[in-house]
Amino acid sequence: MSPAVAPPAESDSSFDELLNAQRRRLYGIAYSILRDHSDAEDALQEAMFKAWRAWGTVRTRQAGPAWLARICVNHCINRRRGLRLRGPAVAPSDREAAAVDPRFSGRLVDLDRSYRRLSPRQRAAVVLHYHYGYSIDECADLMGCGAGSVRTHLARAIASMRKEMANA
Amino acid sequence: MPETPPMVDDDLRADLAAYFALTSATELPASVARMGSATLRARRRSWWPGAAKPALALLGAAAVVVGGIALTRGHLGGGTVASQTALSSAPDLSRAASGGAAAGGQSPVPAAGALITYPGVQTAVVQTALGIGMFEATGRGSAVVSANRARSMAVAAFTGSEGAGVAVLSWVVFSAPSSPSTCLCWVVDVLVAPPSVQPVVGSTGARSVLILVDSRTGAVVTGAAGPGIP
Repeated sequence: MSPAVAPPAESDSSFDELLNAQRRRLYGIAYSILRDHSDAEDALQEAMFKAWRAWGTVRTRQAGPAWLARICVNHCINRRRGLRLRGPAVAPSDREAAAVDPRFSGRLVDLDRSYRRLSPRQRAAVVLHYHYGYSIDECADLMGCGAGSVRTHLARAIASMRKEMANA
Repeated sequence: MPETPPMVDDDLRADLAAYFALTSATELPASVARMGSATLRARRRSWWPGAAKPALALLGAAAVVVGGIALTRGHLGGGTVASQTALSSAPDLSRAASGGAAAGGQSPVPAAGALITYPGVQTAVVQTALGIGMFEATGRGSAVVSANRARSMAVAAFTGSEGAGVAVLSWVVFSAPSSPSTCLCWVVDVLVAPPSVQPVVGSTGARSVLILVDSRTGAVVTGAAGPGIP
């Protein structure tokens, strides 16, 4: 790991401006992948810390939103994988899975249950494509994989959710 | 050949829209709402050098294991002295693991407040017997890592753990004979089942270990087992 190097103070204002504009979207993405508020909070702070340190490497400010989202998505996917590897005792989303979220009723209860069973990459693909409206190519760019992989993740996620809801 | 994403029927599309509308309509946590270059710059001050962080976390975990082994020997020997002996190294370890994040070693120990209340733990006994004073954290600053993450770190640090209790933020004072040290820590009680820790003869088997997690870095500072801890 490279040593932590703080960006110059003058670039802070441009970073803050970008973060302010993207804050809610980034938190929404983090929460949708991790499905736990504490985890999403921690993950977003860690991801934005990485982003802040590397802010000077961004060539154009227009690329900022996608760059920030890419860091957030990949950090959350890796974090979720780490939680799964460490077992159910430390995976809050798995613990939560047993409880029914009071906000949901009817089909949304089944949808929630099936969504929680998706892999981190499948969750990311679903929320980016179907909720935030990113194209397949944009999803591929954000997730650091090919368009074919995104299509596969989406196809399997939808099939899994359909099957789960049909059996409910 | 990649699979083609299926056409999502109107019902599922509507369900997904309603679902994400509900899940994304939550209020932003305060730390996220306040997050900016200023808070991130402050976080950097408690950032450890990359190579030292895992090594020191490993040291903390090793101390917990040593404590468990010593506890086992203590029970086999018919006493609990071993657990206290094993934990006598905790202050030194805590200073090493806390690094610049803790205030330890740099200044005299400030006046501490009241001992915290932790379910099932006799904090006064722990202070007397093990030299770990866990005081109210009021006025000692705020935690960087969340309580949830601290619990995760505590559970992950101990092989064979069966779950964790609540995380309580505490100003921890380690009483070493020469130079006391301090740390703003999350205190987490981790339930450990045999054979990780040998049970007391005649007991139901499960025991617990008190894990202290640095509230600024998330690293395990040390673990404690013995008098005052169930």
